Amino acid sequence: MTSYISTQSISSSMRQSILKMQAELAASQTELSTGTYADIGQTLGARTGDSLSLQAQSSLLQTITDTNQTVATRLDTTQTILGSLQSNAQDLLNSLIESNGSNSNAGTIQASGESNLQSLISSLNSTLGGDYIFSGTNTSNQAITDYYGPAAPNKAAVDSAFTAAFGIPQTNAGVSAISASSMQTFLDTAFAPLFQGANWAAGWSSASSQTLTNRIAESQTVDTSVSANHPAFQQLAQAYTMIADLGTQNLSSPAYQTVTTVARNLLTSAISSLTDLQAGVGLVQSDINDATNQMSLQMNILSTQIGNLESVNPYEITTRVTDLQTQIETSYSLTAQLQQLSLVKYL
Amino acid sequence: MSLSSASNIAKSGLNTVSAESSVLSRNITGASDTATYSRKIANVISTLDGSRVASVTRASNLAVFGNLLGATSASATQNAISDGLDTLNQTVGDVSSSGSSTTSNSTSPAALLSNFTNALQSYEASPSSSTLAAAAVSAAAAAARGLNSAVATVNQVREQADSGIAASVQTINSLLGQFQTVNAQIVGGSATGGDVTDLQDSRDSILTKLAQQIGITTTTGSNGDMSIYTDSGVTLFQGGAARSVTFSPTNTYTAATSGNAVFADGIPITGNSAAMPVATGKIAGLASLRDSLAVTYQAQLDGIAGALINAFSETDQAAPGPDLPGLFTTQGATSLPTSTTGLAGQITVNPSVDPSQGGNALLLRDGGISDTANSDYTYNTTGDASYTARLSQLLAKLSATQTYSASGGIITSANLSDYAAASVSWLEAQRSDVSSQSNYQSTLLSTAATALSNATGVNINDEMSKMLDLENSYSATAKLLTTIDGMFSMLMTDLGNLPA
Repeated sequence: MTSYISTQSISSSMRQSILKMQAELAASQTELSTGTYADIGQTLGARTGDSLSLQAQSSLLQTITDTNQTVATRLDTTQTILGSLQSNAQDLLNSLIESNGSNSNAGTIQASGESNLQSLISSLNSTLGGDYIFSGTNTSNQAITDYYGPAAPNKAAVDSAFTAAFGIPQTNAGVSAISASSMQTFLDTAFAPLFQGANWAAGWSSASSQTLTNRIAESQTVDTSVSANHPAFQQLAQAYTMIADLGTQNLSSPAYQTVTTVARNLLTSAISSLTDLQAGVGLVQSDINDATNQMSLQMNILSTQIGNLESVNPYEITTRVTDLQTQIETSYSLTAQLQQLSLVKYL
Repeated sequence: MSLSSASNIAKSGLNTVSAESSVLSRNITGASDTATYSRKIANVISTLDGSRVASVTRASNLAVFGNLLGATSASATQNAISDGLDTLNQTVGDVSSSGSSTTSNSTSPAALLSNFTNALQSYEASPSSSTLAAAAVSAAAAAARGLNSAVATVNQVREQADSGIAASVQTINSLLGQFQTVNAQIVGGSATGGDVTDLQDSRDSILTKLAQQIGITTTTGSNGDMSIYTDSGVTLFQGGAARSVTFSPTNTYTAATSGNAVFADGIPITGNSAAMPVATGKIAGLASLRDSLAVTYQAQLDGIAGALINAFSETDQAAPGPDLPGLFTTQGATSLPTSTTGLAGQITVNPSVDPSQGGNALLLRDGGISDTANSDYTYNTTGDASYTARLSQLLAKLSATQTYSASGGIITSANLSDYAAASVSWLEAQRSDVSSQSNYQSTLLSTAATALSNATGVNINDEMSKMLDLENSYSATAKLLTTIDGMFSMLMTDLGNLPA
């Protein structure tokens, strides 16, 4: 018994398979040219979300890497400034040690004090992209009030404290009469508090003690700025001010020695604090480097994973395209031959 | 036997051959029309005076035809769902990453959230930059708009499905009307023994069209009368009368809208409450799209919107007070939403923080977005330009785990980006599933169609060879007549030559 085949089946089966193969060919060509599946969503199905998650994670890592550049720039600047402040302080300390309490070059020392104070103020008021980097979170305001500016409150406070203690301003030649012990008392009780607590905030600093914190990796947040309210800067300001503006040139030798001794102690302590600060900033810098390197490795892995999910094997596709072409061509020639294969032709 | 009886038999043979040729040429004409035409068979019987074509029947195979109807319905279901899901897929777009960078090409809520997170991270690194603040707010607005337009697409899909159901119901009723007429003609024709094969063909063709709209089963009575039931058993046509299928369309869809059920013979056949829901056919596909798939996807979008509003809500910093919606809110909202239903369609960026609406983007850093007049909700009380605490908090909240309604049909506890990604996964899984189902059903359909075509269709070569037989038979009969005629004339001549 032979099976019955309708004329319609013969031609329609060929037609349907040609249509199907052409659709497949079009999809394969898209895949070949893009390197990814023609319809990723449909191919991956429930795993499409994985692909999106990986892409989101990767782009977040890229963003954090970019923002780490901003943070790193701020820290680099901070580190440089801290370095120069430390070397300035060290220079002055060296001069003080060399002079060994003698007031023979007091004028030079006073001038150095003044220039160090100015450089401290201008350094702490450094800006980066319009932000005052030592102002803590209050980056829109300059960190330190200029001691030599017009109507400077810090200068006024020092002047009035001096006058209150000795009855004369610092510039008066009469300062030579101040004894070492009364100078010591003044420095301890009236002068030092000007550089601490509420007085520091009122006279010297507009900075916020709250430092900037930034996310440098997905789960790592670090302090990324140094506030001008750090004790190291207060000590520097105190030491520079006493050398620059307590009538240093005219002081008697014992009183001068008292001033320089206090200043030497302050400078020593400030230099060691600065070193600590620099080390702290250095640690954060290396944290950022590590985090960035880590993230770059992670991004490589992520992009490999994304590739694995979305990419097609070009060799496989090429083979498939060739196969499809052959099949379609065969179908065409078969269709043409079937057209000839009719009893009508032979009647 | 007389010569005239031989001549009569030969004549009836000629008649039979021409009747058979006529059936044969009908077959050849219908050969390429498998959808409606089935091969006609002339049944020849021998009679006392020769032979005649007693009846014309058609080739048929009820089982194969039943399979074809089933495959047609199932394929139509999958196609309807597949079309709707492809439209919903517009809310996701191309998910591939663009070239070497890993920025997604996707327009899905997941990708927009990722863009927003990146913008917020950039702003956190330079909190004093109003440009970056504006960029973050604009990314937030893009995410909100993305959700809005996704919901619009969902509603559009539901509206189209609804009007598709209405059109389908109309088609069903009109097909049932045609069926009634044809069925009555067949019953009448069969009773009088006429040739009803063409009518049967057209009745089958109506059934095939009906099966595309709704899954059906049929039974045929002894007099050729046919009854139609839905695949769930509700009567559509019985006793020569069509039952009416009714549906009242809903024109506009929102998250809270639920569409009406389709009734056949007064019984609901779609929707969750239906006792006898149809399983296949275009109607079943559209109903599942409108009442189930699109609604679930909508719930997921609403979940994302709700979680966004919650993550960015602001807390009273001064006194115990209610949390208020911050960066993300809905029009005119004065408190946090209690239900997520419909949020995705309404979510927007608070105008007080949106520079394009006259707001201040820096509020993103400072807080107080919810109520600019009430300083209790301000986080950055000292007005510091590089206040990062709130931004860090927002970033943390954005990646914190939240809970979502179970009506989304996916995970109920996850962070926002994972939930949004799971939503995309869900949608694509449905698409991929429906697409493979659809491929399977269309293969099945084409197999069934081929099987039916082979069972009832026409093979032209076969018909041609039959034609040769008929031709031979015709010439033999003609020869017979000539011979008889010759015999008659020989008889007449001989009679004339007889001596008187």
